[in-house]
Amino acid sequence: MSSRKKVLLKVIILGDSGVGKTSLMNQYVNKKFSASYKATIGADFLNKEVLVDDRLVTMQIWDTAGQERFQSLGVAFYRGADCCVLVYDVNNSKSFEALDSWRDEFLIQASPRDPESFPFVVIGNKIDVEESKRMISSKRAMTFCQSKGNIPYFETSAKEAVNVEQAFEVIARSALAQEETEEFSGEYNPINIHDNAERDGCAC
Amino acid sequence: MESTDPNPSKTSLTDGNVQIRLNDDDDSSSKRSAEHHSSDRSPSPEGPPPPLPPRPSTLSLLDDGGAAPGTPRLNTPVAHSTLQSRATTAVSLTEIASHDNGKEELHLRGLPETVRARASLGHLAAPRGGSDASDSASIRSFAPYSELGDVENIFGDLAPPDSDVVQQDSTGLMQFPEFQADDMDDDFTVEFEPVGDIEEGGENEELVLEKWKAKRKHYIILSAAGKPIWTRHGDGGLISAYVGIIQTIISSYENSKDRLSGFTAGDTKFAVVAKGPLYLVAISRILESDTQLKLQLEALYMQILSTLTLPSLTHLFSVRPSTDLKRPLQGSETLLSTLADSFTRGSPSTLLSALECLKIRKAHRQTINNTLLRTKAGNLLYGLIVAGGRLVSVVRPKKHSLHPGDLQLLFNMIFEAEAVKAGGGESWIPVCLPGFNSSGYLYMYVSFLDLREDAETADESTVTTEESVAIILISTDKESFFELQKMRDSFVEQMEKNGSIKIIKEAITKGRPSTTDIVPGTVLHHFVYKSRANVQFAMSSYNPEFSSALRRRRLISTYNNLHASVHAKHTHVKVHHCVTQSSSSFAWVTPVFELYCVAGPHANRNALAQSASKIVRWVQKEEERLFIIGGAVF
Repeated sequence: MSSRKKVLLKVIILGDSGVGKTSLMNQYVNKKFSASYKATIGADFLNKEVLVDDRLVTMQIWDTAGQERFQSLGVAFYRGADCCVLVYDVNNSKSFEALDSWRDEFLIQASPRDPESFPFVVIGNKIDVEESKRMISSKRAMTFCQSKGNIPYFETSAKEAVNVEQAFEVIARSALAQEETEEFSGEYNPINIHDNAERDGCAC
Repeated sequence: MESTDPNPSKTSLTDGNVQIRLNDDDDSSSKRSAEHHSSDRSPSPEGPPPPLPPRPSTLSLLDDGGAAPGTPRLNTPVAHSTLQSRATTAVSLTEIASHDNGKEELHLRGLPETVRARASLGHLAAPRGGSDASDSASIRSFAPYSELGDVENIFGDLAPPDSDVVQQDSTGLMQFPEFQADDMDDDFTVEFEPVGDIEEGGENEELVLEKWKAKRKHYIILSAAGKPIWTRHGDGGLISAYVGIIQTIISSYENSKDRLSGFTAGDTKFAVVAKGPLYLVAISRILESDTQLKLQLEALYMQILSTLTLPSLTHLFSVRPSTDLKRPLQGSETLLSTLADSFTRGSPSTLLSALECLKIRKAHRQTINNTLLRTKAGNLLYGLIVAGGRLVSVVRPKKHSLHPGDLQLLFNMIFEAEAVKAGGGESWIPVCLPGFNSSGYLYMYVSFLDLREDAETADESTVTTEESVAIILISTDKESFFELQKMRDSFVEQMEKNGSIKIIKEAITKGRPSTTDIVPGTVLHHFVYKSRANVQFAMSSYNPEFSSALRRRRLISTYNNLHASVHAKHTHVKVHHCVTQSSSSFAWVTPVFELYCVAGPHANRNALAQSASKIVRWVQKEEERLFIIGGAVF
């Protein structure tokens, strides 16, 4: 099928409040970082166009509120996502331990057809903070990701723009792969009038 | 930059990529038509032709035709306002046979009886008491036949109680909302110009957004997952953030039993229609009622069904809620845009949910009908001869009626979207007519009559939409192209012979009559008359008063106003008169017809009403020429 038309991919970012979801998105889309913290209310939406293997895709990134009181819109946000990004703060073990419940929450709410193969990406953010404050080791995070079906794992710094591009490239790729599993093609039944001409001639 | 500002304006694209406009895809006709030929439409397996649905037996329309003229029928305005997609027997002979007897009486009975006029006035003034007043009573209260003194009171009383009606001076000028365009130059065409693309680097982003926001009308279709599907202005990238917000707003009402159907912010109206996996949103700063906006959204939804069919649409989203419907709809965006633009420009057909016919003599139409019947192909379902959106003749099976909503889609595709026309002499298009059967495709043969005297010298581009005549032959059989082509050939041949083509051509050249042609010296600038039983309307020429797009839009807005007033819930208004600074307008509604007319702001009320009455008499005299009554049935 022709890929003349851009694909639009819906990407959802989940994680505890304050882990840097909005910052990651802003760093990726706008190449900007703000140190001041402001809670996301409900959700923010940003768009980014990227090339994935010569294919132009638009990523529609839904940055959701981490705070529970803003979570009332669950189903609506999660529905129809092509990829889900789970973010935690490497200096905050509680945010890491919450990853599993975020994942479950997503699977319940979005109820994708094939939960086993639905693409997730895990990001451990804030690696710019001094090493002594780090609570979650790379090894521990990777073990978790492996146990959940080999989820790709990235450690990033939204502040210093470390690994952000790379993480989102994998996100885009996973989303596109998910989007393409049932490509819209091949089911047409073309009507070819020239064929008819040969077969039918004049049917009168 | 503040990182968590929910303000949507920041969410536009700053990543420096060039945006490709979706609406501007050069969907040239050849491409489109190629798509049609390859049937690049739906994933649904091509099953057997869709079964023909049984003809609905209880239609309010039919009742209208059979009911006694005196029966108050206006207490079901909602039913009428949703006619667009209902079945109609507009062109069947039997159902509409019997209402014309009472018609003449309506305006002739009891002319000078001011006593009666006063009595009926009491009915109208009494709160809700008027509902029992017979139509004839209220019609007798109609202005021209009472004394001047009464007239003032009648119209005062008829003013809608809830609107901000202010008696301005002794002439009784009322303040009524007008199309807010007086502050603008005559530049309505800007509304339809593309907002442009955001350049690489995003320098012109502000400008593009500004242009986008300046549009008076927006239509946005999105999936329930919040993916943009189609937008009239801008592209999916530009509006993506807004789409997210729209999805959030709609979704937050989803779980409550009370779904969001619309809201107003300042002078901007938002209407929302949720259809399965799709949300359709209209945003309007043009004077339109919620009902009208929703009808427009329903029509856009029908257009999507017409491209995909309902089962495919449902299937796509049940398999994958994240479906990006832009791709399956690829190539049909033009149809959505032209349809949307026809709503924005304002069309009496949409407003009244009715069709217009080409005015020709009854005997001439009979000849064309008979020619259609004589040349009919065996597997023909519907045959239509249409002149620039005006129906000339119809042939259909006895068991199946035609749906105005379906015809609206067809006419849009054939006459407005231009794709079909430019595609060459003949087109073969699979199309789903959702009013007829939303589950499968019909196959449509379209060919345009060549009306030019000399095909050699005439310039192709001079044939306007109004002048083009299409022969539309529809079958359930996808193999029937050649059969229908043959039918077309012999039909055209016979039409040439019996002079019908010349007659159609003359009727097109003659155009619609002006109000002064009908009533010499009348104050009326324009009128629209809807025959309720036939679901058809007739109107006067737009020229010279309403030849510009803006003036026409204002005219339609005036009609919108009148229409909304007389069709408002719980009202039983029969006559409605409205004076604004730019016009005075007048609506008259009976079980048989709806008449809307417009004159200059200082038009004398008596003159206005008298002219209206003459127009009605003229239409009734010309009824069999203006409307298709019966049509060809097999």
